Amino acid sequence: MSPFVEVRELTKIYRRGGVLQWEGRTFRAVDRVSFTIDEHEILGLVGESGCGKTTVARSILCLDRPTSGSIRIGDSNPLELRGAKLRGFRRSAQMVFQDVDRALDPRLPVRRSIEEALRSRGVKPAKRRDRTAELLGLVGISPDTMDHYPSSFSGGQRQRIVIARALAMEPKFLILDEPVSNLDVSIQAQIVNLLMELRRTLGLTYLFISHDLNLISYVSDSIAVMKDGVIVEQGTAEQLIRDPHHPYTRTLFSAIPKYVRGGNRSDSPRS
Amino acid sequence: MEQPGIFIRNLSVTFTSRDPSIPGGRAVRGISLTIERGSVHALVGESGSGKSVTARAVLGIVGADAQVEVGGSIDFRGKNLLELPGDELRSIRGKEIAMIFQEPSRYLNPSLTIGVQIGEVLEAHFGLSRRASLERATRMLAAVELPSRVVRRYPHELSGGMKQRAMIAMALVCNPSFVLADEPTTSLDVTVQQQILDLLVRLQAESRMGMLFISHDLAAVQSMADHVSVMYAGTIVESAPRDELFSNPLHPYTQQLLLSVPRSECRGLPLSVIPGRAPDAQNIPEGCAFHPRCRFATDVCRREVPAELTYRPEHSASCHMIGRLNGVPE
Repeated sequence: MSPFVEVRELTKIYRRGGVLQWEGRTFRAVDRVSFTIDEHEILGLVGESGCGKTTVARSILCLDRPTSGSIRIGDSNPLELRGAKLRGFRRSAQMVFQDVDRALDPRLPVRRSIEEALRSRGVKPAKRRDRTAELLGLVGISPDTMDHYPSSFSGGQRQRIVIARALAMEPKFLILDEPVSNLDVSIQAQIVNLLMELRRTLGLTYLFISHDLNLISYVSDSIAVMKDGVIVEQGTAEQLIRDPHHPYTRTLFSAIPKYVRGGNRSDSPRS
Repeated sequence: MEQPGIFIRNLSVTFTSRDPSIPGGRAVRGISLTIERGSVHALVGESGSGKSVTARAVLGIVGADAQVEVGGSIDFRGKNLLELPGDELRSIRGKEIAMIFQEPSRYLNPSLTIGVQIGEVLEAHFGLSRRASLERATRMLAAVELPSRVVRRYPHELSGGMKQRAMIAMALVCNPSFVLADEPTTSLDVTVQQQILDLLVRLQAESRMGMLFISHDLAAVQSMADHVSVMYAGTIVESAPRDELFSNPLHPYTQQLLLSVPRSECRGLPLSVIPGRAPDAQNIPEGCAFHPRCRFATDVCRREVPAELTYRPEHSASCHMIGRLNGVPE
């Protein structure tokens, strides 16, 4: 079976500095990145901020058109699409962002935010309200609160609503860009569990982006480690956790203060 | 003779509103803790649990607004910091007790060079000349492993990690005996985080400072702290030496918090979850504040605030159910 997502030699070059053409220098944000994700699987993309993770995500959805490379998601090749067809493609692949506060329109009750998504997919007005209630229930938000504004929800609840809105498009593929980094520990666990459950029940495929290697090693089926725009190492999660090869992967694994349950850390700077 | 620590006793901080119909926000509700010279006391908890307010109360920077009521006492060198007149407090703040903030970019002045900003602290506290203070600033930058040219740099010319190092240099340039570090690595990258933690540990050990280390990151706390206090809804629910707390947590909140951290060993299993969320300061539940989220809660938890009891040497917790839970295998 061929993989559900296939990215080949993806490159994004930004021009920076200089008003005149000849003054401008170029910056390779993403350099020949290739990976595949099987259907219903989770690829964890890990690396420090500025390494190009988010640029990869944006390029895949053509929010930023990549400089070169090829992308296939399911049966579509977004780079060959334009206009309405491209918008149609973006519906089938949704993105959940890190910044929960900016993802929802503060002036719209959450019902309107989700109905807006349903309208763009062509759901009949009469059916929108019920479907909104259904979606909110799916992510653990009481449908009774659908007329409340985003400000009356907590950060964790808002992230649930953002996920519900993404699901309104009935995507097969979700890009999760640091979906829990701004949330508290106990809330993070709730959202992570929700995402894992949704993948199982709805048969979704995820590109899960995070700088948190503990989290990435927990959620992912396979992991790609990115540094300075290049994927330096990738493999199945087991393989990479057990036996990281690239020096950067090793630094990354040893750099995270790894919380060890019930016991002393041997590598603690204090002991 | 030098007193060995900062003693916070029964500290409470309530934010009030001019409008009597709006209930006051009880951000800190009677907490006691000691920051000892030469050791790191970590305060861990979710956002809104009152960690930062506690640190700010020590420095008297929470009461600047008249709408705040601060109770209890904070003893430092035989004086109650909460009752100290402004000028006396100012001579302690920054000189004897320094603070490192979470977001260096918000606390550095964008229009002054790093050297001038560090120098200002010395000019204010020791009356040093501009030239002498710049010299000291350069030496301090070396101590936080920044090149001397940073002295002439503006904040926007530095990376996040460098800015945090500059913040640390500014906090420690007066050689304070105590430092309050409020989430010092939260806004930084993973690899940089560890570098900053290592730097803090080294500086703290070298000059035997006492440190209050505030964080929501259990892994960072485990690598830094000598003693850990867990805060929930404005109170300390459990307090113990580091290894004791991590290997033998007693309070259900601490236990659940430790279990909810994702780890590669539990791939495929759902994470243990604390249902609901922490209450806000205006709506603290009756009885034990944690009871609505606690799966062991009984009637007494809903009615009575649990007392803080000591269960092992230096290990205390506030929970009605601990006696019963200890008999139950996890």
